[in-house]
Amino acid sequence: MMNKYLMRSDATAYRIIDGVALVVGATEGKLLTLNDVGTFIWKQADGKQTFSEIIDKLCQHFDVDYSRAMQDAVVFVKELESKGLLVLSDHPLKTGER
Amino acid sequence: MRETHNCSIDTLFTRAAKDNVPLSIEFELTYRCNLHCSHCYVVDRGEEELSFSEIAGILDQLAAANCLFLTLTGGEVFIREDFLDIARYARSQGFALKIFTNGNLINKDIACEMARLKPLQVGISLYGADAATHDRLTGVHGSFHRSINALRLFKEQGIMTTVKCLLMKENLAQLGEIRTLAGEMGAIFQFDPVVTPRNDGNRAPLQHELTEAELYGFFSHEVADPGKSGERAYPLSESIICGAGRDICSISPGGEVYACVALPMSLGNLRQSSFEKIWHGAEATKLRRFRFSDLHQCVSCHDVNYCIRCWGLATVESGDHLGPAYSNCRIARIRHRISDERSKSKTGGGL
Repeated sequence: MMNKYLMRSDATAYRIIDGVALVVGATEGKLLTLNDVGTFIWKQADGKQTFSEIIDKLCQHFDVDYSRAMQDAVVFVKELESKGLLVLSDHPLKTGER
Repeated sequence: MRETHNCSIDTLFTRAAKDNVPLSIEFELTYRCNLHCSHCYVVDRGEEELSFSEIAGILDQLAAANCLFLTLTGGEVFIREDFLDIARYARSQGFALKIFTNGNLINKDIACEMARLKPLQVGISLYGADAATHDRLTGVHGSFHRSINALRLFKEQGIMTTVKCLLMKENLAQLGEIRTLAGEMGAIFQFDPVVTPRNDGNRAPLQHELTEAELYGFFSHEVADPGKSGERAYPLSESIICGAGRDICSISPGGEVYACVALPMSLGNLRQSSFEKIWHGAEATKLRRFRFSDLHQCVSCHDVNYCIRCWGLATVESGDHLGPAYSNCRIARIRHRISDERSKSKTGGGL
């Protein structure tokens, strides 16, 4: 999981309003608002960075230790992956692919 | 680190209305249509339609204004040969896309293309459970079968669909069958018992509206709780009238920005000004000052807690945008009556 590339599913729509990500999934049509950590991960999930790299950035940004950040990030990513909103891929997203 | 969390859509729209974020926008791409529904509210004002590049420029502005839900509607959107290009561009700008169509121009190739767009929802109008009823209302022979075919094709492609049905004298008896048909097509069923005049006030569509007795029967049987509206966040008099021009608005085929698709009150034209300037301009600001206390008759009406007043309907019915919407008054009166009757029967008829 850690070496996979994290990307937003192409079946989602989102906006960042006042630092809060509003995310809608096309399959469920359900709206989620993410907290500051969730919003940070969502913004970083561009398909060009591995999950591990994103956790490193998360640690720096929120000044938390790696194991704590990883614990929370794994729960978050698994939840959004199960909803079809985030995708973990073995390959990075190519420029212009989406 | 805190947990992520869900937020109800009502909470989100309440917040957006407070901050004037245009979270949901209806973009009417054309007024041209291949059906001739006599109940339709659309008035073709003869505007020159925006080109693809003009629309793309507007979509960029709407995305920058944080619009999330974008509905592409008409007229019939598929009459525009560049419709799929517009829809693709909209998705590339991160909108949650809803598309309203009558489905008559949908074939397998178009349905496949639509699936690639991953729209949030495709709404298809259906006015009857059989061809005779639907086609009589649309004025076009074969329109029912083409709409049903579109629903089938969308279902095959896994696209979430909604069957939208305006309840009229002519189809009220078929409500159950239309609902069943929608279910068979895997569609969500939505119905609306309010027939509205055309946007220029022409009352011709009202020939189809349900009588008071029909509405009473409808609300008695179909609506589980016709009772009071939910708790209000503010005292009624201080409440905003609705989200028109606050968290929602609409854009006409010629780029006119309206507070709502049902409220023909122009805020400005996108060929002459940017969306940002219009959204924060004098007309929009003026509109946002109105409060429920400005609705001179509604504020003291004893049916007010049973009423879902439409600002646009009040405007097109009487020209007085602060007056009552008589179609809504009729429904509020009926809901109040049913609610009272149910309360009495629960308490033993007052004995």
